[in-house]
Amino acid sequence: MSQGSTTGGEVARRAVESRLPVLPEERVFTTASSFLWTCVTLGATGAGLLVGKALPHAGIGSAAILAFVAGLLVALVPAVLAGGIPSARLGVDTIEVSKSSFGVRGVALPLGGLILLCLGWTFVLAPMTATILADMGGAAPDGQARAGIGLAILAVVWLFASRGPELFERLAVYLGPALTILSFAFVVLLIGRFGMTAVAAAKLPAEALLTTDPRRGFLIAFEWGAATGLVGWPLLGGVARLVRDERHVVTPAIFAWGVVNPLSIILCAALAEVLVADGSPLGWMPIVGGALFGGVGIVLVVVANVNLMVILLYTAGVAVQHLPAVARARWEGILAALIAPGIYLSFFPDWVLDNVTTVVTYSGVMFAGITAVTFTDYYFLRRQEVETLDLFRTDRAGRYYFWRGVNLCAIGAVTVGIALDLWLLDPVTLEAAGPFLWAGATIPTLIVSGALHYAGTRLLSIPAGRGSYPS
Amino acid sequence: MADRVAAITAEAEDSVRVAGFDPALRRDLARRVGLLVAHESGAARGRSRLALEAAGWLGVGIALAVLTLTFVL
Repeated sequence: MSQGSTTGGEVARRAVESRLPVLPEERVFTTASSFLWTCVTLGATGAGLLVGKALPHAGIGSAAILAFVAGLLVALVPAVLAGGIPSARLGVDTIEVSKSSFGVRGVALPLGGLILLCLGWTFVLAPMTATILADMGGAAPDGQARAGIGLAILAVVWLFASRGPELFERLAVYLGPALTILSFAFVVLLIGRFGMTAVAAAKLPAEALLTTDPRRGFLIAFEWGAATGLVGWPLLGGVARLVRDERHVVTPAIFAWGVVNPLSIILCAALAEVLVADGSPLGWMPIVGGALFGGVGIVLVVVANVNLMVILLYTAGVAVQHLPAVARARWEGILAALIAPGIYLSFFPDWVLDNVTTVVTYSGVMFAGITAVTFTDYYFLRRQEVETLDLFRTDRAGRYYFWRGVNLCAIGAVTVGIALDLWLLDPVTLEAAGPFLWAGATIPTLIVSGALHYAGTRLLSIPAGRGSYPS
Repeated sequence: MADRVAAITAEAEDSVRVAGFDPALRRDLARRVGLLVAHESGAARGRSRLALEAAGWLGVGIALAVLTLTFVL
């Protein structure tokens, strides 16, 4: 590797593919709109469509989308502030920054969660996208065609991710507006076809609802929004180091996820779920828009899925380099190793869609605690000051060594947060404890984990001289 | 500014010896840290703007939650 100019092309390329801090002039998101459209494409995918299809089942009609947006905004604000802002300021990924909260070895907890989330969703989106394409081509749903298409998708994802982040940034500038316009067009077509009155009163039959209790229905939709928002910590944190100006992080990300996507792709999918009886995720598109327009819609969603998989793989590829054994490997090799399990899993698409989705959903629970700890640590305990150099030091003299490299207060706060969140609401079965009906699950978890970390740091870390907190 | 970058870079070159980086990348890491620290300290602005921005969005979320809950109940 060259030791020459820091801003030389090869070194700059190496920086965006590694843990090296990315300098402002090397970052690919140079405007607020380029980051906004990337965030739109992150949500306007198969995952967004699934959320849209689920919302009417909350049992509160059109209010479900408002409850979803409320939960999304409440969780997304701390997630973006904790995951995105420090990364954009320091030019390093969110795992690097969280060493100041968890310790240089304790960071294994958020690192494991991030890799599980990124790879889990990549492995779920691949068979999901393969099924969509197989349906379009008329292939048998369980045929080898799905496995073959899934493998081809993974190959494309690896190829694009190995080319670096410029490609997904450029693609998003066109894909984001196209998906938004298309979704609005589908909403207009649905209104034209069924009439405004029917669309406004759209509701599923009682037997298809998860609950008939309006308070519970509100909280379920709110929690789905909050869970979506908390994904912002690993996902937006991973790409925010590529944003040139920190002022372009918060509002573009929140506007994209909290306003544009719910009012376009998610609303569109929710209405289609109620008004067009079709079991498949995208089967309603040709029914509503006709073969040509519906086909264009499906192709755009497929491209958005691939783009999201590229971003997920890129984020995991940078993060996994925190493992010393991986740090010196070639970028293409790291990505190939990460995506390798997906090759095997492509041959069992139904098993993946049933089981990996469950694992990913449960693993997402930890991000409430992680968001609370990193937010409290950066804004309340460190007053927004982190020493970049010490993030790269693993010896005892480093500021973030804590206890043998682990901040016990942060790990304890996240562990309690996971237990509390799962007790209040099981995200898969939706079984809830009594207090859930009064406060939900995410807000109490954010408050309890944050308060525990704050108290633990004040009572334990600071008196013991661990973590170099300002007194 | 240049002096500050040089000082931070020198300190970084010394410190990152234990960071597990490829030796060829250490100098580059050190210089990057130096440039970023200088950039950040020279650009310590907009923190109140950030708080206002975040509080605004959080306020919208809470208000929407209260209104929706009132509506569905």
